Amino acid sequence: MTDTAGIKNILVALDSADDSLALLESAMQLANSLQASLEGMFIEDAALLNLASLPFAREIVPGTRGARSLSSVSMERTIKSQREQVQQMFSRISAEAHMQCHFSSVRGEVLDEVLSASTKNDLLLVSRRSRFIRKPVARAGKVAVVCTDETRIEKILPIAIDLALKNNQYGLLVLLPEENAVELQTRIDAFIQNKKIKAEYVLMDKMNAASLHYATGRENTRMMVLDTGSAGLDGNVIRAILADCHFPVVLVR
Amino acid sequence: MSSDKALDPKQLCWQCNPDQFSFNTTDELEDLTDAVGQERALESVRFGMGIRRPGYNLFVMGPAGMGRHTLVRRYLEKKSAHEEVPDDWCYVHNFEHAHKPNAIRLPPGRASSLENDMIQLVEDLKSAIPTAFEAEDYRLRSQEIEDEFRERQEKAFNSIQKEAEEHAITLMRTPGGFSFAPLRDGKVMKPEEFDKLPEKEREKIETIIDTLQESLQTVVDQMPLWAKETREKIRELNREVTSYAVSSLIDQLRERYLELQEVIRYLDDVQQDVVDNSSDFLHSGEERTSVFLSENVPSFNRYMVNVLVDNSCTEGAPVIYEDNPVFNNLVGRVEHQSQMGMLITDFTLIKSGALHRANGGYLVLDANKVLTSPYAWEGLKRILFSNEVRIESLGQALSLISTMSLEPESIPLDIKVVLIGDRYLYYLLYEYDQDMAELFKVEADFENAIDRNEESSMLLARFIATQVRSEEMLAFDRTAVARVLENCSRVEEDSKKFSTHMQGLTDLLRESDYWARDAGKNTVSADDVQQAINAQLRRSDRIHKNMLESIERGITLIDTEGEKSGQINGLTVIELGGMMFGQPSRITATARMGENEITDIENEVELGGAIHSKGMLILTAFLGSRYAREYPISVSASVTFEQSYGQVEGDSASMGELCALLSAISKLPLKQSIAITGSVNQHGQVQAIGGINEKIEGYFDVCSARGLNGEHGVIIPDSNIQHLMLRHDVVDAVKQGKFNIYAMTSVDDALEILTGLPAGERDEHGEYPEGTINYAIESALKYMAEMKREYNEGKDKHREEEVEQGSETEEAHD
Repeated sequence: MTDTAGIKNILVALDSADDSLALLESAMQLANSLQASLEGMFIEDAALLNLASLPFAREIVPGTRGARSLSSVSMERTIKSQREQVQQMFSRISAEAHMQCHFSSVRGEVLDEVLSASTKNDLLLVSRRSRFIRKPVARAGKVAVVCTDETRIEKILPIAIDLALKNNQYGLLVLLPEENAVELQTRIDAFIQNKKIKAEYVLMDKMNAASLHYATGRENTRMMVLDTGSAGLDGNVIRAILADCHFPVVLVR
Repeated sequence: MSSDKALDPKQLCWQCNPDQFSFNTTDELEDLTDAVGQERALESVRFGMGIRRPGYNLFVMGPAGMGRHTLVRRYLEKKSAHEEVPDDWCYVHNFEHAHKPNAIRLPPGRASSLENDMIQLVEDLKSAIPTAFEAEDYRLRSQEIEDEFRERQEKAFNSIQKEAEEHAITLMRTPGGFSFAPLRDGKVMKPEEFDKLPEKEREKIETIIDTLQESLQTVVDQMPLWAKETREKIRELNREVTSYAVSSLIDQLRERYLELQEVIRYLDDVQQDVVDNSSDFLHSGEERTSVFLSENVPSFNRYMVNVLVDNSCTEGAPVIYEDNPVFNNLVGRVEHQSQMGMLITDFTLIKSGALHRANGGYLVLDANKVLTSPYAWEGLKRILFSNEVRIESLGQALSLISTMSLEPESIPLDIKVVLIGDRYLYYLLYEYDQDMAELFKVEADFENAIDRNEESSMLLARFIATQVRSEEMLAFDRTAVARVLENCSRVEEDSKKFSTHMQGLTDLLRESDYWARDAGKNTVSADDVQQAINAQLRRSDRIHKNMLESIERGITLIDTEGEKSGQINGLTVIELGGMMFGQPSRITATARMGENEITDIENEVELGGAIHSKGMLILTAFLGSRYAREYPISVSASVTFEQSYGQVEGDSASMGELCALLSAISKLPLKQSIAITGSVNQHGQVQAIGGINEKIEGYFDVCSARGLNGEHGVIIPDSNIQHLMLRHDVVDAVKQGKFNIYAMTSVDDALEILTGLPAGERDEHGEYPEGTINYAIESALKYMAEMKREYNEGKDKHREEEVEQGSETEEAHD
């Protein structure tokens, strides 16, 4: 991939989600092909720590009977353990890829920290645990990309293509706003013409989180690329998607 | 007197006249398809192979090199060519009990086509099933099921979430599960903020959260049931989709194998299994992600067909010769392969044995190899009794191991087994193995020799022609054929017979061809055959030459001139490897007055075999019965082979020993120029012995080396004349009067030749005439008996005198 100038640094925000490893590998490949720097970040969820400090905090664990007490000490320990696991995985993967990468951890509200980081990094890859119990996200599946702005196509599409080519039999799922779908599709078709990748288009009458969740849920999606610099995608929509998505999300500045 | 017993040179060797043949070279002769002189064996083979009854298997016996394998192979190939090609056999997966693979019988050639069809089916399924699952219809239906589950879940969670939000409480995902937390300004309330709340407010929040937790617990408890329901629905959908995709492909196969019910049943099982395991086909193209080889790797081996017996290219019934009949090669085996240090197996690793391949036809085995291969004989018998082949490892068969392995379905057996072995093996088995008579009811016994006549001569000539052509040798002219035939008689040691040892004959042909080519000839003549015979002898006569040299240098003492009593040249034969040669050995005897005691020194030092000892006892009996009917034998004698340090066996020297003993008793000297061989019975009659030609030639070589003087000769049993096939140089020496061969029928004949005196017969008074050999012997024995009697009387008198003297002395003391 050569036409992604402008991506200088990539941040990958990791937690203990099942697909963190796949996300990190994707991030490594992207960093390699874009010649960009890569940084790993673990967000210690302040909300969880607050919750655990409340006197009545209980946890309902699927597969067990009754609620389990939570404490700030145990939550701190759990989060620390998660951070260490993620850091170890990050170090191992970066060593295997022969890359010098920085890893850091921050404590705060997850969405705030993610959105904040997305403004400071050209590319942010986020892996999050879903609220719901779902079947595991397939390692093979489509890469969904939301395109609302013609001028941003050349910015986000190469990244989506690069991520999708990891398993190109599934290709791209391009989500387009209904109002300018024809123009966008024409531009996108022209852009991917010689890229050896197939694209399927889904027209969205509403570009809200619920609609996007529904559309990606129907199409065996393994990752979603969102453009934070696009006028057509509201910040609240991005927040809502991040709050409830069950697959990794890539935020392109 | 001696000249009466001397044999005519014509009696010494049968010489084949080349002019009896009407052909010039073997090129003019037709091929011989049947074995020479083995009509009886062939008849047995025909019978044994013809009768289709249990236990009528064949044991072909005879010495190695008789052409047993060739005869059996030729006969079976000819017979089997007109017989029906047997069915194919294959093993397939048993979908109910994987460790018990099923055997399927198919018409010839159909097993391999089924194998190919199944390979193709799996390939087709690999594309057909994923295609079916990628179809829009399936995706929509499965999505509906997934959505139903998700919506159910989300609905339940959203309901709780909504209820929580009404009380400013949020549902959170924690590292281990779910929890509720009160909110303030859209964020989880901090503990210090919560502490600042009025107590009633805190209690209210806690109560609400308790209620919410109960609701959530109910939902969480139901989630596995919902997930299970969803999985069931997906599974049912998958079965429906797979069935549709699979049935059309398998139906095509069903049509192809419509008449084969076993295959149809197998295809039904395959269809069911594919439907039950459709997910294997969905992920068949994915890369392996696990480090464990067996994990996540769908195996389609269970749909493969292991063709055990493929008769697609077989013409007629199979004739299998198993060269290495070890247990596994006979019965078949289940192989294992190592996977991550673990030995695993399945039905595709079942390998056929010779019994499978020969099923419906003939299996030829070497009896000696079967018997020397551990458990092969037991395994073969068990299978022949049960008439079915069951593959099991030796460990299983002997209950030595109990690890899980395969138990392939047994295959019914319709087979004729031909065992080829030596006679002693057949008789030993028959004697010691009671199953032998039940399982090998027919024996084919090969003749070692055939009568020599015009017909057999011509058959052998055609055999020679056949071998010459099949091995692309130079043609043999009739002189060469005649010389080969003479050698056949020599090998058999019988001038009236031909040896049927075809291996030796063929070797001689090959070597004659070599020498003819070496000499640049176009055809093989008698000279080349003779050169081949000479070369064979020369290659292996090192020890013979060493022994001759030892005699020439006087290390081994053999007199070939003069006369001596109590000493004679016996003849022995030594067999080393493939070489037999004769050697003279000095036999000496001594006699003195004694107590009828003839000592065999060989026997005393345990160097004499049982038969040799028997010979000694016979000559002792002869001595008594002929010469000492009316008086006791009062001789102590000893007989020995001088300079013999090894085991002496056989009774062929008993006549020599008797002559030496009689000479020692009578003091009559024996001619040392004449050697003797033959065994004797209690009446003094001479009996035939073996190795006659080598014995004569051995003595001839010694005399020849020292210079033949016309006095040299050998006395042989009269009954051995028919066995004479002497070397041409010996015959020539006899013709020239330089060497003599005498024939004897009794000890008297031998003694007359050896002493030059008449043997003598008892007159009307029972006495031998004076001047005869027997008179001298009897007189000596009588003399010794008299001496013994006198000696004993003198001893008695002396004792009496001593007794008298003793009593007088006692009286004087008194």
